[in-house]
Amino acid sequence: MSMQMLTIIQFVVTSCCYFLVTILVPAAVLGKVLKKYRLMERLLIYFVVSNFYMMNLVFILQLLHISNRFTLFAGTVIPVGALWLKIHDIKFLTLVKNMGQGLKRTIEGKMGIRTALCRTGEWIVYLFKQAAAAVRKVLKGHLWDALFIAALIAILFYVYGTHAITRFGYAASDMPVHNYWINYLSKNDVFVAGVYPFGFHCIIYYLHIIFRLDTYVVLRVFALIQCMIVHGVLLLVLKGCCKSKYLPYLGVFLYAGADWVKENVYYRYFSALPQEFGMIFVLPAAYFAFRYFALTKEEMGEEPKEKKKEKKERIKGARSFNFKETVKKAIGWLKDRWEKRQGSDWYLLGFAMCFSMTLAIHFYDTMAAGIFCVAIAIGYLTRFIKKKYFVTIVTTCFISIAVAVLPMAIAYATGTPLQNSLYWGMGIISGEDGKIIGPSSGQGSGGASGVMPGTGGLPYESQEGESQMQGAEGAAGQPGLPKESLGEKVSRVAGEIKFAVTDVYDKMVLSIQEIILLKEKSQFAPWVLGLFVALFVEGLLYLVLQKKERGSMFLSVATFGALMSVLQASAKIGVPSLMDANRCGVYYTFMIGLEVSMVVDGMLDILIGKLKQKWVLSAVSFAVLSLCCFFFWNYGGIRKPILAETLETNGAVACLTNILLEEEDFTWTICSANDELRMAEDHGYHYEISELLKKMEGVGSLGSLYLPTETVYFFVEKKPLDYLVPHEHSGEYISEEGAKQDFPWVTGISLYQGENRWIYMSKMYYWAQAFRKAYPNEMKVYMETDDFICYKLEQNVNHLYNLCIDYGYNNVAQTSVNQ
Amino acid sequence: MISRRNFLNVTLMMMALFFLFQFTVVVKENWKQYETNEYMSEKNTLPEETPEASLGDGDFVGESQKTYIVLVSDTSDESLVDVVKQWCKYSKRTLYVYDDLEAYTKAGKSEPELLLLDKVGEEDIPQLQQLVKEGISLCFCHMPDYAVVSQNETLRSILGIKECILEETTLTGIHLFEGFLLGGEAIYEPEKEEEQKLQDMDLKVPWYVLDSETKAYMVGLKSDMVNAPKNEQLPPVIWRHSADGTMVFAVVGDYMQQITGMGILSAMVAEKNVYELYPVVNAQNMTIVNFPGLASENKEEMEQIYARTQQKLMRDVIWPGLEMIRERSGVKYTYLFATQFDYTDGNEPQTEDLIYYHKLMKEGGAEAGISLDHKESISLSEKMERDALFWESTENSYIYGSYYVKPGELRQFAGGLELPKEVRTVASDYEEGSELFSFLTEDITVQRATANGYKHTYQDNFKLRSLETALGYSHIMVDLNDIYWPDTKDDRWEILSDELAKNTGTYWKAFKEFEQTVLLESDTRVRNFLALDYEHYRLENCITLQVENLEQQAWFILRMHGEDIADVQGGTYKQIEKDVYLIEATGERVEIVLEEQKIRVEP
Repeated sequence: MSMQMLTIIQFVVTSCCYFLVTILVPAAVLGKVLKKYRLMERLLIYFVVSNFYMMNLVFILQLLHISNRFTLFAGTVIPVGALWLKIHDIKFLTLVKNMGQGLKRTIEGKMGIRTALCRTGEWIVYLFKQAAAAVRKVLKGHLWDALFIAALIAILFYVYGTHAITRFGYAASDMPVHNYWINYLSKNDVFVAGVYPFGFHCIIYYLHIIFRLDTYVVLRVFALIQCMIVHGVLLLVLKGCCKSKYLPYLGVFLYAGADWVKENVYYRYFSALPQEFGMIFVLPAAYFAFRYFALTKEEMGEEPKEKKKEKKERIKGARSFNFKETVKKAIGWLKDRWEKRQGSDWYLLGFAMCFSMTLAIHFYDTMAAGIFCVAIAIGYLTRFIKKKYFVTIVTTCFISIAVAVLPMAIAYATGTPLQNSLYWGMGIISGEDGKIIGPSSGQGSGGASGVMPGTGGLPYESQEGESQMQGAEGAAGQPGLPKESLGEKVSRVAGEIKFAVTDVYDKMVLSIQEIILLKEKSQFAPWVLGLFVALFVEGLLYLVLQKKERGSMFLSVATFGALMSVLQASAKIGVPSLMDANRCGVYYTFMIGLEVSMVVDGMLDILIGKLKQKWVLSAVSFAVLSLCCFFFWNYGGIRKPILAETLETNGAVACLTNILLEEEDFTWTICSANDELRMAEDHGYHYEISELLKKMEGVGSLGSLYLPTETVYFFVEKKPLDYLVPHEHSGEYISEEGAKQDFPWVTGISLYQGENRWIYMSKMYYWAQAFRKAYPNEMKVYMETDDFICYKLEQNVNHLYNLCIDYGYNNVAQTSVNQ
Repeated sequence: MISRRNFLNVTLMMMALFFLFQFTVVVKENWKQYETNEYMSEKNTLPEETPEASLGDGDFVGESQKTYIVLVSDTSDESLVDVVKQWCKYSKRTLYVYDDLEAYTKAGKSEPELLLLDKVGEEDIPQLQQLVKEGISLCFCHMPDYAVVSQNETLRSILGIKECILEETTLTGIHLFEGFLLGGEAIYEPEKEEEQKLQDMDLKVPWYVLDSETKAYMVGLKSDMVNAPKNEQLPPVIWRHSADGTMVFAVVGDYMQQITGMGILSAMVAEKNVYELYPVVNAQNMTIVNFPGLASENKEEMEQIYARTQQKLMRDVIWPGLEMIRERSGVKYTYLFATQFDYTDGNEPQTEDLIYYHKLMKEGGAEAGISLDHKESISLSEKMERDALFWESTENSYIYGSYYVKPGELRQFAGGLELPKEVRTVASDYEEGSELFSFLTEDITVQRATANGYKHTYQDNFKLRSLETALGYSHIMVDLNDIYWPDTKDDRWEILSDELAKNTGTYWKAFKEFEQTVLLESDTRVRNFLALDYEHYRLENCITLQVENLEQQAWFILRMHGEDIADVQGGTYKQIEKDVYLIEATGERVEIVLEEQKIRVEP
């Protein structure tokens, strides 16, 4: 089997597992309760609820140090089963009794095994039929949707999947660190390197434990899965926000496949990174907030006056305090509220979960979600400031934050320090621009501040962006100048405002041109800014047309666009940079997809939305979508798939996969440069080649190094990777020249970067040749490709081989037989 | 009242049943041919002795010139020469023996497969250094003195010795690692008090610590030390050093001077080469000497110990015991009848049990032979004459092809005494220096015992592994005279049978892939083994074996390093253990196809 085929299988299996727990199981349990909701809303709720549950289940079990397959399984099956029974009004005992009776009848011989098997088979067939009917129901009348979704999946496979099935290594330098943190969850050691948002790690860990999928496999293929979910969520949210049937696809197609943005805004999708996973929950949070506002208004509008009176009396009664009665009343109130406002509460719950998860996954996602919340507060200002909304929303926000922060706070309170990148985050917020203000971070502790190859080696957590806050230009008035008249003053202030607006606008345009748009598409930067202006105008128009809900929603999205534009250009404008411009660009581009669809949809809705013939709107939206696709096809073109540079050769990943398949756990050691350390941590041992070579440098066989496993694999890159730092010998094969170089006595990640990697690999290769000469039958070539070779050494565990030898390039004085 | 009709029916049914039961017995009696030796073959179909070459300085032994072994020994100690000579004969290698290294160098021979060194002095070191440079593999069969090693850095670098710790240290045991000799890992260190009697290995050795680029095959154990040394610092007993790519083997102790040296040499060659293919006998014999005894002797003692006569002891106690062992361990017996041991007591052999035992033996697939063991009161020739008279009187048509003769009396057959014409092979005890199997006369082979069934010490176990490695051969000889004529209290059947069952059921398990044979079968295999010659070569993944003088079939051991067999043409194969295969050549040309290295997931 080829590694490509295996990767495809791994992708399919991992996707199935993930969608089983995030869509199918919640659908089976909550489907009945949520059947009145739209399909897209149901899907969002399933996805959000399940992820939230998994994440927090892992957190709880980890903090109790009892997380394992059994507890995770029990923690999933028992509550889910109980809920299912409750929702479907089935008594547990009755169910057990029925099943027991069937079993009893079979055991007693009253029912033959064949009959029992037939009945089970019939039941399974029935389930399949039900599922098929459900799918048919969904597809009925949605053929074009199905085709567009298929096209979207094809585009995503083309753009992002090409990399996934041709480059097998991690594409970001901090992936091994995330892998390491997840590995330690298996040892019930959450926050192993310090307190950090572990939401993403919890999900990967859950998949790893429950479905026995190797963490490194999940991390390799999950990048594509989460990329598809990000696009799927954008589509679902647009489906919820747009009136027209097909315009949601416009934004998603533009975001997924049009060739108009720079690589750096979507390069991170080639790695399974927390920030991108957290992005999944930003838009649903906003959508749930929109729906909450809309539905609460409806529900409150329905509330009869008598009920209001009753409520007031109840509150009055509550003032004469009686604990039992108060509790009883509170429960009654909650029940009553849930019954009456079930619809809006689901949305509120969804919003809370999404917001909580953004914080539990990555702070940048919380920032984006937070900005959207501010925008929503502005868009719905008239309602937001009302006590009943304000209190509920703010309380929800606090609870969701508390839920997300609680595990971290508990860990911090029990003595776990903050992870270094959090100090960095705080540094950014406090204006210290990426300078780590906490304890110094070493390679060993593994900070999550990684680097993406192909981004010019800029660290994406601490990339040096534009200049920091610049001093306010021009003091307001110079001493000694003559007094201005009022007219002059007004004129000056107007001029200054005009200048400031023009200046901010220019800087926003410049920022979009620099970070987001391709050079040849840079002229469209003002158009991008025009999107939020258009949304704002449409929002106002809706308000004028008495479509307050849509007006507020459009105003919210417009405000979000404006705030994000400011944030994107913050370094240039001179406001505090809460987020690095490159990272902000990822969200910004995501937002453009949302805005484009909404702007066009708003236009059509305002123009022809009032027509009774709804098919007209659909037809026009279809035509507009087709036109836009045609336009992009001819003008912008389809985005070409890029093959991201990986930090591990394909040969190394394939070799590791083979070792894991063939060898018994913990009977082997891999001696390689770094990445395999975390990938294989659950199965075997790892030793650094730098350490191996160091042990014999200058001393040869006088040094001693024994690796106490039956088998030792040595990974050597014949054509060493640059590992983010190009050098004089970049792209060259290992050589005698490289082996002759002085031993690089460095530490940290620079060990394997730049020329050092070439030197290490060259020395390693000649060591392997010399060692093979001494052990020709014991050390063999295990796998070889054009750029990679793996040697396999089989040894006697009762009498190990000393790996320290004089291999000719370790500066040892000659004392051997050849004297 | 039963009707006549029913009575008739019942009677007919009874008769039918009676007939059916009796019929099978009668048929069995007639068809089994209890008085025929099924293992006996025509004499003229068997390979006979080939003339043996003489041994001398620089002389080569054997006929083939293709690969050769050099032994540098002043022949003061014949034991090493005997072992090496025997090994070369069996593995079809040519052996050159030189008095010293200078003589070898002067001879200007091309590179030998292995250069064996007996005793090395300080003066030989420069030449050894030169030989290593030339890439000639060495084997120090006898380690140089500790003083020489410790004082000479060059010698240490040749031997791969990093440090000399003690001139002599007493080991608590010896650890033989897996992959060197067949049979897997063995730890020769008694754990319990009753195991102490098993320890007979040489436990006094010099203590060296090995350098890098070495591989230890057998090390001493030092479990008695408070601060136990690391495994890699334990005193090595057999090891290899790769001096600049040249293999140098070393053996501490006298393992090479004993018959165990044969297995060590085979293992060393296998370690040195990418693959090693060599012929083996593939025979596992178990000979029960002096059973059954046809005369009821030593009556008083038998009555006293077992409360029965010797005849009854054999039939009621020993036979069931032996059968139980056979069933459990799957061995094949050769029973050697004892006509009479003591010719002075007047207890003459009886014929009444002869047919009975033949029947039982035939049922168990065993072979029957004759033991010529006797008390010293009578000469061998006289015993043979008296026995001949007895056998004539028995009207027994069974042809006995296997005999047992005491090692001391074997020479008498070279001096004129003749065995009956139908005799094919003679079993005898092993004596140091004697060949394991050879020709007694032109057409009678001698097969020496390799183990005593009652006793299996650590040294015996090491010998067993060694012989199985070199020859795929073992011969357990169980002498029941110890039971009939006990010397000590331990010479009792209940004790000895326990030991016998324990030993045969335990230590031979690892060699179950070798075939169980009776003496006549083994004789045929030995003759074929001695007669054949072979050549082999490897082209990519195919090893071609060309066998000369092949009679029906021959067996070879193929030792690999991490490679597996995919197919064999011209023969069959089975795996004995990891990287070791038993090849049965049925044709003169055998092609062994090796599996290509398989990667489950291609990059």
